[in-house]
Amino acid sequence: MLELIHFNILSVLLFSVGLYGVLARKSAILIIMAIELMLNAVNINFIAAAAFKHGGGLFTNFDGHILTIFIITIAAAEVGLALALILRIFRNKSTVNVDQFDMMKL
Amino acid sequence: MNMHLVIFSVISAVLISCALGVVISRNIVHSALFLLFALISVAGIYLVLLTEFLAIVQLLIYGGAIVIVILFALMLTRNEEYPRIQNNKLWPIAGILSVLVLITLSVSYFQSDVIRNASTTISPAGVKSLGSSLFTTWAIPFELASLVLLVALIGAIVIARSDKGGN
Amino acid sequence: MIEGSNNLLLLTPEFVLAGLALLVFTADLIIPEGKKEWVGRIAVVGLIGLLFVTASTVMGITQPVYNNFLLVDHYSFVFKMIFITVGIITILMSEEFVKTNLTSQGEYYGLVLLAILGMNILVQSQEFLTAYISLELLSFCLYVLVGYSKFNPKSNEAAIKYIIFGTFSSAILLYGLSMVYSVVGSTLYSDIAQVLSTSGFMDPVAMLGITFIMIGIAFKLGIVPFHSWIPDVYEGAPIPVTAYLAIGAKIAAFAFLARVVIGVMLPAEELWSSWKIIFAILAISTMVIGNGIAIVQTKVKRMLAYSSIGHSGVLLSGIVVFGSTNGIVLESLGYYLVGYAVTSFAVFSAITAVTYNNNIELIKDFAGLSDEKPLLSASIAIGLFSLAGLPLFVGFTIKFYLFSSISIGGYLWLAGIAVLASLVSLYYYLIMIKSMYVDVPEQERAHADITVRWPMWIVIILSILMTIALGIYPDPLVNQLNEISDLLK
Repeated sequence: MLELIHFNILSVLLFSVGLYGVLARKSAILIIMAIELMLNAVNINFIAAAAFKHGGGLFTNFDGHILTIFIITIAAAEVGLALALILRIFRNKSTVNVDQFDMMKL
Repeated sequence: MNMHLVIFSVISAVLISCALGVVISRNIVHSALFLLFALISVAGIYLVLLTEFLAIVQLLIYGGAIVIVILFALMLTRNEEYPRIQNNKLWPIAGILSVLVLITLSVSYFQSDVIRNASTTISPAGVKSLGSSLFTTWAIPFELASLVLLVALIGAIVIARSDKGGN
Repeated sequence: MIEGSNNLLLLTPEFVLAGLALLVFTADLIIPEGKKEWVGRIAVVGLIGLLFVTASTVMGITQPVYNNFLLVDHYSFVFKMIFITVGIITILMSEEFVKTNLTSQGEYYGLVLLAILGMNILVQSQEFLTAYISLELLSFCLYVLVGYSKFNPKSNEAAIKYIIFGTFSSAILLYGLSMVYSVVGSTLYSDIAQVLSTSGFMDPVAMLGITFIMIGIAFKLGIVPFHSWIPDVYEGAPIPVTAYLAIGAKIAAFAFLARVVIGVMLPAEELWSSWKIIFAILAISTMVIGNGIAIVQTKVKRMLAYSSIGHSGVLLSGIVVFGSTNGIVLESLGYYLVGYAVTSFAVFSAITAVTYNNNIELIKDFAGLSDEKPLLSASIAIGLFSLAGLPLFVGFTIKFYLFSSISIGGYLWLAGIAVLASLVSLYYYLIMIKSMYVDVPEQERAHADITVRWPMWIVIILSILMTIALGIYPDPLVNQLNEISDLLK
């Protein structure tokens, strides 16, 4: 029997994999990919909550689905902007590795 | 009913292994392809949750747009060949931290009465109900999101455009 | 179904601002190259008009708008006025810099305007998704503005770091929100507060969700230990943008945090009593680490970045006493933010003028400035003394008000630590002042080619005057701010 908690656990798994990717990777593009995984974990959580608990308590509408639509929109815009910046950096310096941005010390 | 659980487990297994592929693979192109498969399996999860509309949106925007943009960026930022990716030196700490987050959050979900007592039926979300609530209840955030897209568009052009002034 | 949808008129300032931004983008297409400063001037005139529009449409009104997603009240009114003013000053001080240093000059002003729109909606939102999207609107504008000097690798790197940290913190915030949503079923502050304040409610998922939301906001505000992006971003950004980040974006993020704490956490007394302690610890670590690391900095922008982290700590210690005072703390926080803004503008505008067309960035490069450009160095010195909290200046009165309301709230020790942190900050501000007034420059007439035009003079003189005037005679401002303290009663 499928239950809400299955989806929650799946979402946590995906979130921690993404978190690991963000913290362990050095290339800006790979970090952005890992952040996308985290955002997908968020979306699974929202939709599962809305789908399973529809009609109970304050869960009157499919608000979780709507939140997901917004998150996907913003994420797409964010990726576009970030990759434009990465292209600019590459043209100026020929690197996309965050730790080779050595002009400023961390 | 168990059929659902089987489908869910298979898709989840694919999703998590692809996600691990994204963060572990030593080749950046492989990572991007793993990301594509992970995002497609998320669309599968949405189908299990009976939201066809979001599954299609997921395929179009994530699978179509985002992965393609990432692949574009990979192509355009190409040196001679893709070097094997080196990880941050702190990667063991990153691993420990994410395992800790994983354990804490999973335990909290198992401990939560609200989550455990949720109903076991999935309500399908029709496009009609989504549309009407998007354009009535959520109209203000919707308008704001259009401005966010405008800023992203202008910003990407301003930053990536190669015009005079530099080398 | 949609209650209050008929009072969309209360959103007139936002509609006007969005229209103004689009008008500015259009004007940029018409105005020829070389005259782009007129784009900025249109924006300034429009913003001054917007001040009147805002005052005439929403002043003194307290009413929820559109499904309770937004709340027009005195708190949001005061902050809107602050943001619009900050926008005007930022555009005026950017004009010469943009003209000499940047390409795509017209779009710069439109992005500053849209950032103000994001801040305005952020402070009046009563719902997390609206808040998130307006926060993203603000952040997107800032990502682009930070990377605006696009042939400067430092600016590029600052922008990519900012965007990575920003997206990462948004992802954490959203995950927290999704946890809270799966328990509560709504993203309205009032609904979440209602569920959290049920006695004996201790759902671990909701608690962790709130924690994640707070971590996300702490990232945005640059609270230690989530501050690591601040120095790099502040250093790499073009300097008027650094000012905008340190003043506008910081006030907006702080106003948002205060709104969330008041709306979500204060009603749940058990929850708030434990979060108070966490906030106190974060406030102390932020003050100590921010001011401590600022001492060893050799670059002006990094020094100011760490000092602004220290100020975030002071502000956070004001939040600790929410609920234990009678609203007076909100009034003094508002006063603190205004005082911090005018003082910082005195410093940043003069530094912008000094660094127009040369790459001065070290503190020792400012040696000899007092002989060649006395007014600029006086502006920096007055600003720094005021930031350190010396009497005569607004920096003293704001700290006096805030620290006394913290001790009224029963946290005398926290106020004590804040005073000590201010003393430390005096030390590194004095290093900078010594460099300008005492040290002998390595080369003669290093600052000879600085020319300052009238928009910049307006900003500099106005900020110096306000830094002194608000310190001596704060009554009109404080009376105006008095009403926002109703939120906490």
